[in-house]
Amino acid sequence: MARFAYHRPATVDEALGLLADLGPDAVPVAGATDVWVNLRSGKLAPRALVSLRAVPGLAGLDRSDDGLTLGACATHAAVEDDSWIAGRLPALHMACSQVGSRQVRNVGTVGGNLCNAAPSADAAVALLLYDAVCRVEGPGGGRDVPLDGFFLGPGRTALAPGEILTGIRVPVPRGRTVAGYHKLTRRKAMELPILGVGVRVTLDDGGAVSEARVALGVAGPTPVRCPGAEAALAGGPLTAERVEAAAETAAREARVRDSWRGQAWYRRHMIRVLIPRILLGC
Amino acid sequence: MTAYACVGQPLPKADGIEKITGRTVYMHDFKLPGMLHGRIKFADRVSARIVSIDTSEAERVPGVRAVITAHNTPEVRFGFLKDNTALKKDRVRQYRDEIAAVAATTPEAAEEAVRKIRVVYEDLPAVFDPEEALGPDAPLVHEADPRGKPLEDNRLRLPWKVEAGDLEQGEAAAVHVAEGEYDVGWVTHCCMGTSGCVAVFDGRGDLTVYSNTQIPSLAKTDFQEALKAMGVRGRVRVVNAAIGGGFGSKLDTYAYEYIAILLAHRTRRPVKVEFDREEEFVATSPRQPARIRVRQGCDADGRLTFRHISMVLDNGAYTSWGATTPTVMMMPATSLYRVPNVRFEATCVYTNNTYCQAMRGYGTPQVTFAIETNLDELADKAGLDPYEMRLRNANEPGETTPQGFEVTTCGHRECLEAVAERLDWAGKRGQGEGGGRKRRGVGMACLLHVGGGAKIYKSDGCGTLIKMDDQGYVDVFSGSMDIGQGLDTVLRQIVAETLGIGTDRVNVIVGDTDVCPWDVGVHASRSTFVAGNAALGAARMIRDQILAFAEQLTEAPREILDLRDGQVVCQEDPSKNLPLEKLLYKAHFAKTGNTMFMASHFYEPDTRLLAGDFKGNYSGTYTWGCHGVEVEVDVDTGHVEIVRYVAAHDVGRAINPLLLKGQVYGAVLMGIGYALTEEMIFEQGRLRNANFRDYKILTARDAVPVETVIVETDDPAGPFGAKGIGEPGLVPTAPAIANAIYDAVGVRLHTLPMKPEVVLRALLDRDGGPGPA
Repeated sequence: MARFAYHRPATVDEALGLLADLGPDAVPVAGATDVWVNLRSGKLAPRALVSLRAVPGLAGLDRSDDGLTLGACATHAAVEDDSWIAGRLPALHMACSQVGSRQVRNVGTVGGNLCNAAPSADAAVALLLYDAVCRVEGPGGGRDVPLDGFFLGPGRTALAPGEILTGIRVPVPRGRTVAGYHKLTRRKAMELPILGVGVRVTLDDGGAVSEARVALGVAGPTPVRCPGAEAALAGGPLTAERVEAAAETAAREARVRDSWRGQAWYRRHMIRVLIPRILLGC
Repeated sequence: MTAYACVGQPLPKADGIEKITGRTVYMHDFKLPGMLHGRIKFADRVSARIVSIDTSEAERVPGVRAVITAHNTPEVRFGFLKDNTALKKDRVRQYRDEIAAVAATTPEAAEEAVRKIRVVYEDLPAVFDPEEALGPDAPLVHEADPRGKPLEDNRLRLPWKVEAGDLEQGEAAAVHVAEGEYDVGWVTHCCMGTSGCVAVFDGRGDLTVYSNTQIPSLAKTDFQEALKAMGVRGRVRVVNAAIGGGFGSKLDTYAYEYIAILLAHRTRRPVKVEFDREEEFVATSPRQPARIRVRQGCDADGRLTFRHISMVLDNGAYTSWGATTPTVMMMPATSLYRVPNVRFEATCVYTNNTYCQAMRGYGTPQVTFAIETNLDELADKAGLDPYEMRLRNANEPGETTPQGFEVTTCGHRECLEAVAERLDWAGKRGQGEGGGRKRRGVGMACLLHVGGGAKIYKSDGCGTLIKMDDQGYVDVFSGSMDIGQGLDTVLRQIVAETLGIGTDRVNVIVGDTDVCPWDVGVHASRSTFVAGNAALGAARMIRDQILAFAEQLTEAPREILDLRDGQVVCQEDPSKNLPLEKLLYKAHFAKTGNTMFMASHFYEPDTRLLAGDFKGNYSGTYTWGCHGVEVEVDVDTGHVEIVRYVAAHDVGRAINPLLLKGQVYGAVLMGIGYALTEEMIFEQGRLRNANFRDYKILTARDAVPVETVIVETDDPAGPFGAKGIGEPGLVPTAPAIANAIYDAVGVRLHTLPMKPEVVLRALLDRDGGPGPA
């Protein structure tokens, strides 16, 4: 493993200054659970790591009636242990509770999971269901990026050089809501999903689906929403027919592929099986 | 059975506290002054001619003390057929081929130097499928044998074939026949401690290898041969560090050990080579894949009339013990259940895949998967409950099997009955089909294994020395090795029992060839039986010496003296009882004729090497077991959940039930991994999943409770009646689960692992569901 400098800035501004000075040879890290693997394997050999862990406030969970603001350095364990999130944002709770092992979740962060931009990111799929918005700070000031537009490709995000993710705003759905995340794996811990399936349906007072979200992991180059499936769910009551149509559409539209981790037919078939399972419990 | 003071007690492992508090010195903790770090340059191609190796840049890395290749070191050949060399000169045959090695003052410098070694290759054709490798136009993995004699094909010249009875007659007598092909792939040991060693030469040219081998004595012989090849006149000592798991992976010597020796010789410094996890996956030898064809039949009553097994094994590019596993596969093939007419034949084939080795069970997990799954299919055809089918054919005490195994004690039937009762077999079987997305089913499978060593080498023995000091402390020097299985604790119990003292008085020393006698190695579930008998024999001699001395002191005849609770007990006159300490004081500090209590015993089981026809009694006793499992199969996802697991084993006698259960728990979990989750994924010879994220060994969260049933048959040959239990616990796991899946959802699976997509595919194919496109 190559040698590198390790910086622990105390403020966001200091972090941005360091990243500006060090340029592309510096990698910002929080839990570093993904970065460290790449350092050890030699895939990544930066001259410096800029740790965001010492920046006060970045690890916080801010709950309000409108929703949750997650500091980018909030760990998966912090989400897992939060009953407020479990009650109001259950899909996010399910996703974060299944990352790696408890030891990994104690260190790995939700923000890191997004910035790593793996197609398999558990938290990303769940956050897509809740219309999460990323707060980004950079040399030119701050901006909001909807998560839906955050992922550009495997390992690529909308972050410009020198920018960092500081927080994620997650609105709590208004109205009766069913939401869930299913992580398809072969064993019960230390897994990347073979497929991640997230669904949220929010009903209006008349019992019709007012908002539908379907998101998938490992079904394309990035975690993605499935607009066709969402359309199939929306507009009327949540019937088995509607759910099956949505599942079929999602399965058809998914850009799953064959890899040694899982075959395309299996992934496609499981989309068909898991969407009804999440919504109807069958 | 007799009750004992130490034997039969559930004592915690003697080395447990040291291990869980992190004080145990494993190879990774082990350092010597001035030690260099070695690292290996592995091949970048799977099959190629080596055109040139440029090490000049590597040599210039600061801290590098030596860079070696086959061109600047003597050739060191090793392996079962001596078809492997420590460093490859002009040809690579697999991705793990060693091309060069570096010794440097830091691991980082060694790593950097390895990265800077430039190799020019000229690609050669490769072959990865063993059946293709047998084809007439297949590229040759080896053009010549180690003596230079040209080879015409990739078939190993190993005559694995055994036949007994009359197969044709057995076929004719069969009313029902089941036939199938079963495919099992690679899995690996996943030892927590990765492989590694430190080699050091002293000023006289004597070599010490600090090792974590399972075979200290044979490794010494191997290394001694290497010295000869190197033209070095020194002698060899092998000293073991604590071993973080073996499971067969350390049953042979590997190239990295010879490389450490070569580097140490070149640099005149201690050199450590240790694998990181990726190297451990890639460069150690896994359990070998096999394609197994089984055909067996029974008469109208369900009694087996014949069994015919043939298989092709992927040997990989070189030959280690993996190629000899058919000699053990023969055992269940011919002798699990009473089947009069049998034939077994196995072909090992060179390919450009990784080469294979021993792994817990030594071939029997593969062949038992085929036999026991096929037996369920046969029961189905005969319209019999598979449990009833097994009972009707169960092995019996006193029988001699077609391969010539002389069965003494046999708890096969008791194991079957225990599983059926615990699992509520009668109530649960056949309930799976019907509504619901999750369906339950039960399955069982049996095993036969060697329980008293296995004579596959010219000696299956073990030597032991014991000395007792003036205060009654005992040192036991055993040739065997503790690799985590608990030998240390078991030997304490056996010796303490024999000498009538507490186990806290007994110290066990293993793993130093300068101090410990010879032993063939830790394999074949033999250590409790063979090393236990060796220790027992030596302890009995000490006991005789003490009692002979006591006879003089007490003037009581020896026949009425006994050793118990730390004293010489006179059965007829308790006033003559004598504390052991007093006796020892008198023995050691007499004015003349001081007596030392020391003994040595070499135990060789009364067994035979298999003859040319592969028949003969090669184990001191045999062991049986039966596993039963209840599963729940999700018919929409193919996911298999284990609801209950019962493992019944004929263990002769449990010397330590706590450790014994630990062996079974661990083995069952390893077996479940083999059955459901684990696979090494090779693509064109390249291992894709060389890490624990992608190699699906079970995690703590996946562990299932295992109900163990200990069946004690008190074997006359075993120490205090014990048989081996190291391997059996995973042998029938996969077929038991496969049979349970069939009971739950009605599909037969012939491949491992039975991962969800495999189960789902089988269900979809049966029900005409969507195709794989």
